[in-house]
Amino acid sequence: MAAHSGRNWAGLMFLCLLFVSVAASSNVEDQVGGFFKSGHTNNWAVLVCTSRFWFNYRHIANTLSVYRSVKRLGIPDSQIILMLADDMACNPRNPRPATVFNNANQHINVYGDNVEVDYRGYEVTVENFIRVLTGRLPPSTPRSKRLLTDDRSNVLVYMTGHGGEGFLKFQDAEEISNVELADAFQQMWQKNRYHEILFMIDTCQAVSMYHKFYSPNVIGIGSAQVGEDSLSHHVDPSIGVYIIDRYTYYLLEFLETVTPDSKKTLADLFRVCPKRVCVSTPGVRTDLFTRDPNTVLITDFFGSVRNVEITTETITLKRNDTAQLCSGSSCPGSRRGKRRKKLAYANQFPVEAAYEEEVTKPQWHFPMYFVAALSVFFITVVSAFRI
Amino acid sequence: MGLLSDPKSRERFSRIAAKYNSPLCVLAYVVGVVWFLALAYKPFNHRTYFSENALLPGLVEGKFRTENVATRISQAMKDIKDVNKDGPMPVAWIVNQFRGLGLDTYTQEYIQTIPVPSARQSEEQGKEMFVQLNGTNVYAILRAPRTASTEAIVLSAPYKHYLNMDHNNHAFGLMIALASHFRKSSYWSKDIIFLLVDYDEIGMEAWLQEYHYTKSPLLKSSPLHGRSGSIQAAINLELHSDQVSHFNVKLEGLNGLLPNLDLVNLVVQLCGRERITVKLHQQRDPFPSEGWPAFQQNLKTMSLMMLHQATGMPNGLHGLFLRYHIEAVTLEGVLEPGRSSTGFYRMGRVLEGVFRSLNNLLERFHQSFFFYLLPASDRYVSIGMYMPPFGLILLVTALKAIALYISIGTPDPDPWDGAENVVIEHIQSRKTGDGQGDNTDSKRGVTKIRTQNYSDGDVWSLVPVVSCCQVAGFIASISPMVMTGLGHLFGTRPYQALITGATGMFFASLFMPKCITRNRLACTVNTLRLWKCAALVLQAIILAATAAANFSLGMLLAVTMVPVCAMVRPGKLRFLQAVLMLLVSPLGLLIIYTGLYLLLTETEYHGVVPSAMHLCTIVYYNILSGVIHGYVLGTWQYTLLALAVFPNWLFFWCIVFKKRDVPVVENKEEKKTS
Repeated sequence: MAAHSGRNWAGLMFLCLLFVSVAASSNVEDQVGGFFKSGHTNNWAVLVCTSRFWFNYRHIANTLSVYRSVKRLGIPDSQIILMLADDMACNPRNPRPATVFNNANQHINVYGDNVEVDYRGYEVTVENFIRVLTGRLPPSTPRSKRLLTDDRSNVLVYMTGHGGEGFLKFQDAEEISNVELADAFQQMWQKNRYHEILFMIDTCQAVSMYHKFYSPNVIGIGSAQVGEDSLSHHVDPSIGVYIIDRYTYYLLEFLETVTPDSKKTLADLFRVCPKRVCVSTPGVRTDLFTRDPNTVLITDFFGSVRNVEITTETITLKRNDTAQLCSGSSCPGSRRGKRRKKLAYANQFPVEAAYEEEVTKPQWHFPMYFVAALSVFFITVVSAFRI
Repeated sequence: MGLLSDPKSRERFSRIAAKYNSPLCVLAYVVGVVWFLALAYKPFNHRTYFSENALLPGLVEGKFRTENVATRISQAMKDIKDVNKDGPMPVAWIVNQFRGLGLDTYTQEYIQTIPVPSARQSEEQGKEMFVQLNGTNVYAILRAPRTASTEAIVLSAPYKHYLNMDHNNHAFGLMIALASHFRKSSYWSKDIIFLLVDYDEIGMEAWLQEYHYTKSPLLKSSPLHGRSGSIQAAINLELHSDQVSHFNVKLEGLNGLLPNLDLVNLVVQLCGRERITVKLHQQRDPFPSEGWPAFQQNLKTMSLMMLHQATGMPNGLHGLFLRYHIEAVTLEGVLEPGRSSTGFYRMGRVLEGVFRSLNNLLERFHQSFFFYLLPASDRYVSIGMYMPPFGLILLVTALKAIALYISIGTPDPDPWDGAENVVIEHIQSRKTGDGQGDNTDSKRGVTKIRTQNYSDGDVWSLVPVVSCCQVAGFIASISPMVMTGLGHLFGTRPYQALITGATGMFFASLFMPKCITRNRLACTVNTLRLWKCAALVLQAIILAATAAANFSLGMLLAVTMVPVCAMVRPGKLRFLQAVLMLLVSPLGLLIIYTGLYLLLTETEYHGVVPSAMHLCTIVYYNILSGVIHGYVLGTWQYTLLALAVFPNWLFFWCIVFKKRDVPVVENKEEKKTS
């Protein structure tokens, strides 16, 4: 309930800001037109972790981190299909129950508040994945588990797991081949289920997964070439697992610099993980994509476009928490200052300054017996001098 | 007989096998032995690696900090032992230690009957006449806090070593320290069972039998009141002092079973991480790892492992887990004077790391090798690498058998010397076993000489010989117990009677060839060829089967028995052959290999006589423990030697001493039938 009202509030804030900026500008239509430059009207994300078991903790962490990033950039839960093949937070081996971390600093719990997993555990199968993409789900499937895209939808498909040349393993039982995946995208195209797709995969020999694509408007990004392994980034010694994969780590590092109004383009995204840090060689496929990646905003896939209706009337906004009416200039200054306090997501990466401060600031703990001994010592010294 | 097999090519093969038989045999044997020895050389073996992803060895940081608990508890236990000398295990005190940590603690009492008459008790009429051991095991279960008790891992330690009366209180101290550390953590996905056993192997066997609901008639025990899930792995701990210079990792289990190589790798790797030296059979890994000295060292380690494995005796309590398909190793902490040593802190961290990794397991160990030899702690020779040279050695037996089989029906190339030498123009109706023999008659011969028995080698003549040998083997296998029973009546000491039983049949059966001759059994050249052929085939089967179950035993038997048995033949140099045969007899081999073992392990040489005495003592002890462990723990090495290897050897022994009878010449003239 709280999450729901929070989302309402965020939406209202967004509209309010939009309204202010729109009102300030002279040419309203031109400004708004910029939102629809790419030709899409809605954004969707399908985030899939295909591997289970404790030692694959990093794949869950990868997916949850990307989930968090796309949500931060504005795609709502209702438009994210999150598939997690295992539940690391509740694994009895987890020394920090009910959490999943993506960094050894453990400063951010990616399994924290407001995570909506649509397909979990053994529901993550090749069949379900293809059905979600192509929309061939049983009628009983709830809306939250459907990919309700149309021909104006930009879809981000992120996958991670264990792969080989031309396949990605699902659970421990089955695998999806690159041909099946290409056919699924083609079906989506024929059924007008997407406008553009950004397919991103972090697995061994990842690029083999997009080699067979033949549908238009698809970009493929893979973390490793054929014959290469995609490697993990680092270990969390307190949890005792590899905690995140290299490609996803540097992807997140990049996405942290992206804001909803960011002008970063896909070309920047392609460069997130050079070979010297990634060890594997990431690959990109753009020949099916008609636009120039140098001009396509990253937010076309990671952010979200919402329908905006322009009105010339003044709307009185109601604050949820105080339930107090406040319109324009009638609000007192102090209250306005309080309201303007910026709401922000925690960083995916540790804040350097805070971290250093914590390290450098010495923390003194004097045990009682030490203090006692010290005072006895001082008393002795002082009395000795007096004598 | 396959439809697609080409009889011509088979014929060619058999011709070659017969023609170049001796060189082929020598070649196969030499190549086999050299190849096998070369496996200890670094370029011919492989570096160990982890097959099991789930283990994640050493990724987690050690948090073990309770080493002072270990010091305190081990000191307290030592004090108790000093007070009550070599009295029984202080069960109540141990239970209190575990209960104090809040663990589910239980005890198990058992009575083991050893089927050896007790000298003391037998005098009292009406009492049980066998030796009985009463003991109590104490175990505590740390329940996994966030999951069902479906799986468990075991940390065990013997209360003390009964053979050398060495106390193991340091291991108990470390066990309690680990328990107090482990119970603070919430991340266990498996129960951890802490088990302190009384009477070494017997106590462990009692606990395992009761845990798995298996029964043995000689072992009675109280039921376990607390249990956990299926045991995935076990670590057994033996510490000789609170400071150790290295861990001696013991692998060989009951009947030559070995733990999965992943578990061994895990232990070796985590010891390396804490910079504790790992040794196998007290042998250090060679450094530098290349070159001739390194090869010698590797070969020594591998030989010691094979000699240990061949006995089928577990060299630590872990060996009994292996029978239940629970992977287990023993870590023996040894303090070598003059070496840098580490205390409980590092040892605890090693064990913590091992248990964290075992905790990560998702399924039983199954990925890595179960059949291997280790020339060094980080090098392995897998079954795929050591079986081909063994196959080559067995090929000698097979080739010889084939050549003999083919030669049945041909004249003796090396005829009987002396008066019995009869030149035979032989005419035979070849009826070989499959009935496909052709009828060949001598072209010139008009005198058909028929031997007393059927000239092709009398198959039926095998029956009495083989059955005699088998009966001798059977008697040998039961005689220790029979003799102890008889010895009890005559007042001999049970162990002496037992040894008499085990070796008496062996010496008695050396006279078997005499009996066979008297019975006027088979005699012609061809019959003898058939005998030897059958003996060789039998030998090949026995050795191959043995190697499949306990490779080291099979290999050690094959290396010595195969060349001697392939060479022996009745007739010339009978004395030399007899000496060789005695050397490769089961008893001879036991003495040879025990000597080899002592040569490799003992550093001091005291002269011929003391060494020989020492050797005899060890051999005596080995026979004793082989027989007794056969009853108590279920090792089958003595039974195998008595029931299979010994009869086979006896068969060859009979062949050596077999006199060929004079052929009975039938003067009846017959017409050529061609």
